[in-house]
Amino acid sequence: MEYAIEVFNLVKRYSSRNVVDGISFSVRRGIVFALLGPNGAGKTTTIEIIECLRTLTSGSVYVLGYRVGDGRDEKEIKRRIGMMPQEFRALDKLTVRENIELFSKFYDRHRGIDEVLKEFDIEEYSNVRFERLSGGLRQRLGLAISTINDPEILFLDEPTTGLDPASRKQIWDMVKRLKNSGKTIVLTSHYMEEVEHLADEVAVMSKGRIVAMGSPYHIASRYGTGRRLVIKGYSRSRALTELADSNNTVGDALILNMDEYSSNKSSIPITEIVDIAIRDGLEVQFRNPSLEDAFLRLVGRMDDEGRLLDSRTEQI
Amino acid sequence: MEMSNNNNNNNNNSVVSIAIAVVTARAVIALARALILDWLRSKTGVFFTILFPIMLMSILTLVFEDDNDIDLYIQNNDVNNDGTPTELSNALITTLESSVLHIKHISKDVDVDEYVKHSSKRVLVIPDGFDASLRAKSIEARMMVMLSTLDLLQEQSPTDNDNDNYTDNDSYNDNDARSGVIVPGREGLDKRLDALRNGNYNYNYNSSVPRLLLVADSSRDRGHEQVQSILMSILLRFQQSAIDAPEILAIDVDDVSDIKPVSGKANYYLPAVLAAFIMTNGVLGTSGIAAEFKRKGMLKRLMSTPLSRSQWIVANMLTQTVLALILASMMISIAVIAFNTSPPNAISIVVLAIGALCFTGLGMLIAGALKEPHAVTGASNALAFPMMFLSGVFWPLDSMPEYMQNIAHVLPLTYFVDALHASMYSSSMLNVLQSTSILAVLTGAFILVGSYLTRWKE
Repeated sequence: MEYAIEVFNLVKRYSSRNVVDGISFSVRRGIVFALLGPNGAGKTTTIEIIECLRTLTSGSVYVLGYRVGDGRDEKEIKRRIGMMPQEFRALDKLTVRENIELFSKFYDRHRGIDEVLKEFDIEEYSNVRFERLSGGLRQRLGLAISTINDPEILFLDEPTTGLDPASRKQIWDMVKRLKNSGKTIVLTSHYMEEVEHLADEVAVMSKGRIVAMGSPYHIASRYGTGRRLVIKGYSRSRALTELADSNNTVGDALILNMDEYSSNKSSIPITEIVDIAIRDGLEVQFRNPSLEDAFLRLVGRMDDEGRLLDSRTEQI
Repeated sequence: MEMSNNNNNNNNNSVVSIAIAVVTARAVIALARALILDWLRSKTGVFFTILFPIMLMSILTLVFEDDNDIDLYIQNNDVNNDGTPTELSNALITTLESSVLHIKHISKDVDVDEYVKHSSKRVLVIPDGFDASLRAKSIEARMMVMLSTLDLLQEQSPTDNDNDNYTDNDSYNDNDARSGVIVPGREGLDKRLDALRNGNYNYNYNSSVPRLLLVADSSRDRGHEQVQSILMSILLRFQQSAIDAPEILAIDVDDVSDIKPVSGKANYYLPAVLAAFIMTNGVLGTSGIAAEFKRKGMLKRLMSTPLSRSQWIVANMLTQTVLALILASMMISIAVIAFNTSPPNAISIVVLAIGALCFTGLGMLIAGALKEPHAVTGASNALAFPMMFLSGVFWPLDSMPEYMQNIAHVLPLTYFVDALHASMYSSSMLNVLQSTSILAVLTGAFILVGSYLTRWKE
């Protein structure tokens, strides 16, 4: 079986609103698949339907060949998947070991407790109560518990949200190890860097629909803003000030889309602009297309509080 | 060959069934154990689940040791044809009303034994014919005084030999005695005494003593002994002032309790406080766990494992039952050691378990019916605390207004308190069965509805 997950025309309706609006996608075995989207895009609902935590309104979903919605098949699915929610919580007064032991009892077959403790490097905390663990250790425990049944598919919901960079790096390494051991991983994240770093394939969701799907590079290249030249403090150069208008400046930075600019034969060549900037002592940067650019172009611009302002707006 | 395959299939099915049962039981026990450990390791959890109820029971027992519960209900069966009380029964009631006792009245149609059993009130029954028998006994007493006086006179009077003026011909007859003619001499006295003794005064010397009946339930009535002694002293005064004769009125005490003789207030408070806290632990504990699991996303985490909804429900019930038994064993031990109460029997353990299941079911019902964790906590509190105060835990139901008593009779805690009380101290299985069966029906209903409302998929 090539696909771990297959989703066909999935619809989830609440009242009269389609939270998930007829999406279809497949996840190949052994890859890290990331689902991206702003709040309310429908990604959590989609994931929870796949995890057999929510009912679907219409469409069909298959996990490892088992049909979501069928009682007997759902039991099989639950035996074969693991999940780690955002901000993993366990029983506060139980130790790390006791919490892992508890979850191990829910499965007819499970890995050894010591093996899991060792794999996620939490042996020295095995007798520490959950309430005394730091955020990073809690997430590592969550990851450890999600693999106690040696799952074929692992669902990770924003696994590094709120963690410091060191803890985030540790989780990334662990996810990579899990991927290398052959597990299929479905990831949701708000960190584009994380998705670019971990994911093999990405689906971008907006308003219940999938608006783009492919590898991070493919999405960044296709939907991103292209390569850009950024010159900071351009107003100090008379020649560069003549190039500036309201469409290609942000503050005191001149930003030129190199592909678009080069196609205009009447303008000053890029190499000459760079020479002017260097001669006038200005800071020059070249920026490659990023997933974040593509994401923002696809799903819209967001304000400081994460609210969607408008969609498919060119970002600088 | 085919039969062999069928046998193999049957064997395989049996093995799978056993394996599923083992995993199911293992998961339930593991979850219940984890919940219990999590609870017991919480200092506040232990305090409010176990220590606080013990403290409350001890405080109530000590504080109300000298309570002054002196209500007395009167059922007057001695009335005239027009329904008004007879003169002496009315006089007795007036005397009682002017005493420290708080007199209240109940109709003569009421079955007093049943009334006392269900209400724990104490009732003084004035029997039919009280007035007549009291008067008769009064006359008898006066006649006895006269006899005593005559006996004394007889002893002090001169002999026949000394009575020269009296002859057999001058016979002294009964009519003379009744007419009060004074005939001097020993013979005259003898004849007069004979007339009295032979009943020629048409008086029955063997009339029975009028008996009042005090009906009380000693196991639930904390003040019945105090009221009884007050009553005795009032009756003594009554008979002396109203009748002016000694020892003509008696009071019998009918203890309707079929409960073993016990002493101390802890017998009243132990089952009540135990039931109340098993209720709060069940309702608040179960709904609290469900709300906390929802709020922290732990319920979803459990739902994503092979753990089923029924396993989750059974684990919660097991948890609350074990916590209830821990609480009960500690409270009962302290009550037995410190307050000299009787240890409970096996039936009360069963009642405790049913009560724990009942309120766990109710907690499940609330948690299932309400989606928001905060609403679950609020609703549980809103239900548990009024129930505690309306179900006869801290004061008898009969001290509350009638409409509140009506509310109490639809509350499961009322039946749990009754069932626990009866099972711990009653020798009558009927008493235990009545309340326990109502409790069991409610338990079944709560568990069924609670299970139905508990969602394992959103």
